[in-house]
Amino acid sequence: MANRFARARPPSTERDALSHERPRIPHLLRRFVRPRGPEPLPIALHRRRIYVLPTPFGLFFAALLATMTLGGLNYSNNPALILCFLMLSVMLSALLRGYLNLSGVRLVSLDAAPVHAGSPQPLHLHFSAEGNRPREGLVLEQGGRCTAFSLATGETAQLELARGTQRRGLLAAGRFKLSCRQPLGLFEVWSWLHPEAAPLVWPALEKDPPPPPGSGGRSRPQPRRGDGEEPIALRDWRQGDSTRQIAWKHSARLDRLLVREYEQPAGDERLLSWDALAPLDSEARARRLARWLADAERAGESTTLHMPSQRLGPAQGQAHLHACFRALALEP
Amino acid sequence: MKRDALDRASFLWIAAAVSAALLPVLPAFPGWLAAFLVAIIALGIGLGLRRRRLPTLLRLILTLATAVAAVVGSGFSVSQDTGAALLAAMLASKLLETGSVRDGRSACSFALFAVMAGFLRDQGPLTLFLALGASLLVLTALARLARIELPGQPPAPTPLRALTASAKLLAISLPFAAVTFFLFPRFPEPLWGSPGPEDRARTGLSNDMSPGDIVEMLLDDSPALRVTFEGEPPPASAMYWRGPVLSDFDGRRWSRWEGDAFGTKPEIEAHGPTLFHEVMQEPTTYRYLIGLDVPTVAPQGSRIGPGHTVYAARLSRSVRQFRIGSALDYRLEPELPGQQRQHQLRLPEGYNPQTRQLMAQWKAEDARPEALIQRALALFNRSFTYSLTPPPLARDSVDDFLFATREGYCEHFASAFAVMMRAAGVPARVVTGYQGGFHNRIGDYWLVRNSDAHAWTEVWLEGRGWVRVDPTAAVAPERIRDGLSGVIPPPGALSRFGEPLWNLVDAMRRGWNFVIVDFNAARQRELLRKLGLDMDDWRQLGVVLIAAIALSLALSFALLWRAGPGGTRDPLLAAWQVLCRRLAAAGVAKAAAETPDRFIARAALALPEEAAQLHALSARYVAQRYADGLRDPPEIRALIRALRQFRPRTHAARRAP
Repeated sequence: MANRFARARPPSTERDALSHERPRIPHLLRRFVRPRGPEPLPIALHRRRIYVLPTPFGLFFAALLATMTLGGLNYSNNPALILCFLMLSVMLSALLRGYLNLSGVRLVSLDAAPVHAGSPQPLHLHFSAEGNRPREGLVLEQGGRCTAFSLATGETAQLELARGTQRRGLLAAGRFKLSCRQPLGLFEVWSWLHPEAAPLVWPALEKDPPPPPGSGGRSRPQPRRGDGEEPIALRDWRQGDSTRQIAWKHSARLDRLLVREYEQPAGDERLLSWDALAPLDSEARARRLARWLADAERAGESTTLHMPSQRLGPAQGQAHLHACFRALALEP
Repeated sequence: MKRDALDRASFLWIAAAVSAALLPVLPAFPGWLAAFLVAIIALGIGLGLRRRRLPTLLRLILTLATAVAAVVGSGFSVSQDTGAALLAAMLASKLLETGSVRDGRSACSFALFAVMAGFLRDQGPLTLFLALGASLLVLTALARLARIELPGQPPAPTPLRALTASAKLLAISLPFAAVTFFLFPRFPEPLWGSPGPEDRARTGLSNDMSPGDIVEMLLDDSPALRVTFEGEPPPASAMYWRGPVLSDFDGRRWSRWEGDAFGTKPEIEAHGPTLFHEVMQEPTTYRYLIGLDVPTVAPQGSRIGPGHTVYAARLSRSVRQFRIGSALDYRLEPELPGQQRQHQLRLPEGYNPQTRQLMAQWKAEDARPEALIQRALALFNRSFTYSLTPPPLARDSVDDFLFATREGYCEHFASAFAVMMRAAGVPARVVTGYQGGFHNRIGDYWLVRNSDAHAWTEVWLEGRGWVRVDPTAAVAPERIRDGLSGVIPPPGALSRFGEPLWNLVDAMRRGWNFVIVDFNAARQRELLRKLGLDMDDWRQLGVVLIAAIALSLALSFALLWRAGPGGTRDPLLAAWQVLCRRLAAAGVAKAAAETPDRFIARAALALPEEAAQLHALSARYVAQRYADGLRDPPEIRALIRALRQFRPRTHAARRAP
């Protein structure tokens, strides 16, 4: 019980996250568990969707109190009974307080900056609370990751909860568990949040892509001092870089392999096409194209991306790159 | 560090809860056992603070040693006392192995159990007060444990705030607890384990008496009875409170005659009205109920038994409260059947030859019982002294007392007088009980202390039945007139200045006994009847119970709604909220989702005179509140002051064109 937060499941996709949660709810009961499906934001928690169960410690504590009460009744030991009833009453108050802690909490928005599949995506959840009381010790949990937060009276809270991404596309945010064991750890009050939001995940970047078309025949420019093409930057060596590109002096100084990047002449343009990679499946195509686009952007090349339904570019810059990633992510 | 591991502050809270729970139980144990337990607790706390643990084997040995000490300390008996001692021992050694949240929680739960064990001993208000303190610490420790379990371990509130939050939770739970306490159905009879006399040697009159027994009681100033009369009380010197009657003498010890059949109620002719009185009797190990001599109307659930003493149907560990009626002018057993008479004359062979010889001589001179009584009393008066520290008596205790030591207290006189009468052929027996009383003006009741314990005699006279004769009165009339304080000087100042205070305290204690300790099934029935409810109509009762519970729960709910969880209130945030309220009063209310920046920008637009100040405050507030780790305490204090001092001079709406 005490280790429940330490459940370090590897982060997984939405499907995995749900399959991880689902077995906890028997099939028959699932019909009654709210929400029954994704729902639009903002989501306000109210009594119909807040669940309460005693924690194992709560059960133990209740059993202990019941025993003591029985003893007190048997020996008609009234001071002992006073204490028992007071503690039972405290248990009830703790339950009510836990419920009040959750009731009226609102999930106002959920957004996330797109990331490449495979890297964790931080989801930003924005919570506020109705009513004139602070909320303490709320825990937001999904797929084994969790974070705690409090809401002071009239304040809002912005949380970050990373999720694992393995697939490109609009990945549904999935179901979150918002729970609270305050104030005494005797009861767990919780509610499921299933916002409709589906933040974008870009395709992963292929690790070792072949050189992009159009660069195949063209040899890399020779690094010659005094020529028009000046090295403008150094970057880490990647597999596939030619040994001639390595800046040996710099590498020796920094103790790691660096290669020179060259200024491309303006108007150097690359044409990348979805259909040209026909033999590959769409996932592989998206990964490769994403990598080529990223490389080209870094190299300062202007790119044009041909997708079956649209054509992006020729253009250069972050906005163009992100538009291309988005198109790749959404391509079925 | 494991998430499950306890931090030092949490450990301290748990240790405090455990120590507080043991506080009311420790005094009950023998000194060495209490000292041993305290040492174990100290060891546990010391190790816990250094975050060290003893090797498992050593810990096991210590735990076992503690358990053995508890069993030895409670004298190897199988009783609740041993149970309490064992529980305390286990709780003390639990601290040695409290290293995780889970351990902490079980330690807290058992601490609560130990608190309950404390009530088996004493049900006084002080114990309840200590118990409430311990429960408060237990709750605070539990709250702390629930908090450190949170991921990211948010900052904990200060100890004072943590305690206040738990106290608030306790206070909010009071209405429901009170309703349950008074309405929860009680068992009219215990389901198991009626307390046995072997459980504990409590002070109280016992079923036998040998010289020297009572003296311990005579030095015990604690209350035995509290009595309220429903009528004119007799003078204190005539207040004889009847307890067990002893008519079996074995040469040294007087005891109750087993041949006295229960249920055969002795005959009594009462003259004059019955004097009813309400008696609150402190716990004893026996079944007798004490009433004014001589009880004629037995309280409910009890009957008048042998020797005309009132006996309750069963033993009880708690305070008894009953209404009893007595006759002051009576003829008790005017006829004494042969077998009874025989018994009341029986003396063991071979004991006290000198006394027998003396009495034979007296009887030869004047055989009238009245004359014999007068002569004996005159003898006592002439040449005996009252003393609480008489020399011990030899085998022939009465001979030794009459002819050698000649000093003693009520027990010696009663015993000697009864033996003398029997030797002279007058049926006689010893009555134990209490004599006198102290009027508490504040509560208008009579307090009888254990030190008022007394023994006197009854002689049976033809035509008059059993007549009370108190030989002690012949020796030390002041003992009878003024109580024991007439004999032993009271400890000075206490009686002069302390008396009103003492009266007040005792009156409160009596009220406590009345309202809390003695609230039983019968009183509950009575309470419900006064509220117009019938215990036997379970449907009506159920409705009322549910309604009362629902009402008190609703009250708790409303209080909780208003109070919020307490706990960590950031003073900076509180000051900020003051500012927001003032701005709201000035016509600019903060929307829930508005950030401080945006809100202040809006407020500054609405209140241009304050704009500069508002922007400055807002910038400082944002810098301090949202800069984790970069907080600057002096700046925070200054900012809190500034936020609280801010007062808008204008009103937004009034300014609006």
